[in-house]
Amino acid sequence: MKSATIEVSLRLPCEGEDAVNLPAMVQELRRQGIAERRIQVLSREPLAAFPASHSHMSKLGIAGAIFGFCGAIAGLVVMTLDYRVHTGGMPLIAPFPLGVITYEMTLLGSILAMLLTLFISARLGPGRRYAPHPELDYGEAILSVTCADRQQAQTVRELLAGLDPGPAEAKK
Amino acid sequence: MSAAISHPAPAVVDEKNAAAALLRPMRYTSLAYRRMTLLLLMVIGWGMFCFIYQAMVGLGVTGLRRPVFWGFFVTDFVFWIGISHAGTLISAILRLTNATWRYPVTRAAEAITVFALMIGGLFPIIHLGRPWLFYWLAPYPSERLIWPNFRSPLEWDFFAISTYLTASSLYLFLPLLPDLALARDRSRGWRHRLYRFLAMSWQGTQIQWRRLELAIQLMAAVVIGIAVSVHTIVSWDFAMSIVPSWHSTIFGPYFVAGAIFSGIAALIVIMAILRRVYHLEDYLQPKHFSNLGKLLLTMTLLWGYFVTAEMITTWYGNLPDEMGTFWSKVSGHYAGLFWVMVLCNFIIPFPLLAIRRLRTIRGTVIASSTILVGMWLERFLIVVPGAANQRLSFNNWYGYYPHWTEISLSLATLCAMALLYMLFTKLFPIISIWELGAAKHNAPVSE
Repeated sequence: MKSATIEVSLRLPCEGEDAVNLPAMVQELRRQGIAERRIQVLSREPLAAFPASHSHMSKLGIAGAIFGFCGAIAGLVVMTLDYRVHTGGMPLIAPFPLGVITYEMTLLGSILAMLLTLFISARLGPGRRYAPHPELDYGEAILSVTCADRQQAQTVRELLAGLDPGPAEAKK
Repeated sequence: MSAAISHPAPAVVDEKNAAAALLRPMRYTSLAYRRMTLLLLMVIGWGMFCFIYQAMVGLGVTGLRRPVFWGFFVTDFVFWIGISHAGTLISAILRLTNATWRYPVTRAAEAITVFALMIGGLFPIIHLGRPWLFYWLAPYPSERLIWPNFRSPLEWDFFAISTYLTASSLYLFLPLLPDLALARDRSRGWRHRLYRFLAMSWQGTQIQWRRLELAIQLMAAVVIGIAVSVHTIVSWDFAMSIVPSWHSTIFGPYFVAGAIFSGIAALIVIMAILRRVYHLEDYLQPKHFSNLGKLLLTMTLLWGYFVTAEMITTWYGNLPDEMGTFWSKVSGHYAGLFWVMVLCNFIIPFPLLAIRRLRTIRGTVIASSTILVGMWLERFLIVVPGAANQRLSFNNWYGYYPHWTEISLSLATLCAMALLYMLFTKLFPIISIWELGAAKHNAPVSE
């Protein structure tokens, strides 16, 4: 049975004079032994302080395009072989429509592959669990740490309090 | 300095106020909105009646007669597919060129694409003699070996438009995700449930932001390829035939340029309406209209160049087969429409867009409105005179006149487009809230 986790979160200003150095805080938490996957920085807008991480999206987009191209060709070949329509020697699917269809399917394959990559790598989907933060506003960020138990939550709370003078909120 | 850019607003509006202001149209519905919806529904209902009547009695109720079998419906089809280039293509180009003034413009444009494609895609079905067999367009398994004709242009259109609609819908949806999450967090009841489903559990983690930005950027590049191909394929519906005046090598780029031309015009008109109705003056500023006006000016010149090149080549070649169509447009049966088209597409908009003092919101809206009329006429003048004067050296052999069913269906689809757009503005923020915020962290807004 999966044990319940405790989320310790801290609302912080991320712009203006009071802005905090979020990447440094995340770095400090990591240094204290908290696994990277347990730390999240949530915001209403992309934060420039966090650089783009490596992604295979473009490569998978190309793979999707190849898949779409091959799928279109294979589908058309199978159709031609499967449907024995008498065309007087002419191909069932002439080169021009073949070109149009394969072109469109190639680009569609690329787009669908990128979409799938986005959904999987960003953990998006209608049925997924998420912690709502309706209080989060623009110009703010929430530094959130998922803790395995109360003891770890207490440690993280103390750690966050040490990093920033503001109080740390705890959520179940 | 012109009035359009003499009072520049702050580069980026405060996001907290922006979120409240941009979510407000979704929460409050005015009486005028309800009345407009009712009016549009009545016109759409009349259009549906006309469609059922046409389906029951046959295409004989239209003005389509030998040799003109492509009339209003094909004109509308080409026109709406052209309008659809407003969004995805313009938005994608602005994204890839990192034009930072684009933020308040892109979503309004992307929504036009999706709805214009839906409307445009209806016309081949409306134009079918037996519209209930529309699924014959799709390559479905057939036990009777009755196989979709892959040589038919309808088959190309099916693949091109369905791909474009899928890509455009996704391209509209992806940048909506963060705003859907915002709406989810600030709504209750059925709206909360709707946004919770659509927001796909978006939380705004930095990994989500980076992946989303990358996906939008990559998709923009691919979508441009699709958008260009779609209107090229629509132009090939004509150009691949050997009908004089349609069989032209420049039809592909000519159609694409015309599509972007009419698309920008539609975007400007819709932006002006949104600005006034939803009081978005702080977001849709004069500089946005001025910048889009510059793009429109470029397209006006390009359109003029294409039309001149096409007309002069035909006139100088003096091929008997083509001259019937040529003279029917220049001085014959369709001359009135032709010169109105030139007036609307070039003579009126050019000074309005070229002179900086005139390139105001009002100036660009007037220019765009005339361009929309002119571009519809341009589509009509491609379709009908070409069909009416096929290989006949004399003109005015047959004058096509639309019947009430065609006019009603054209008006009804226009109202359907307006209704879809109005509903969209009630359900989703019409300006990308998070991109306004992101703009603050990026480069200053370019004028």
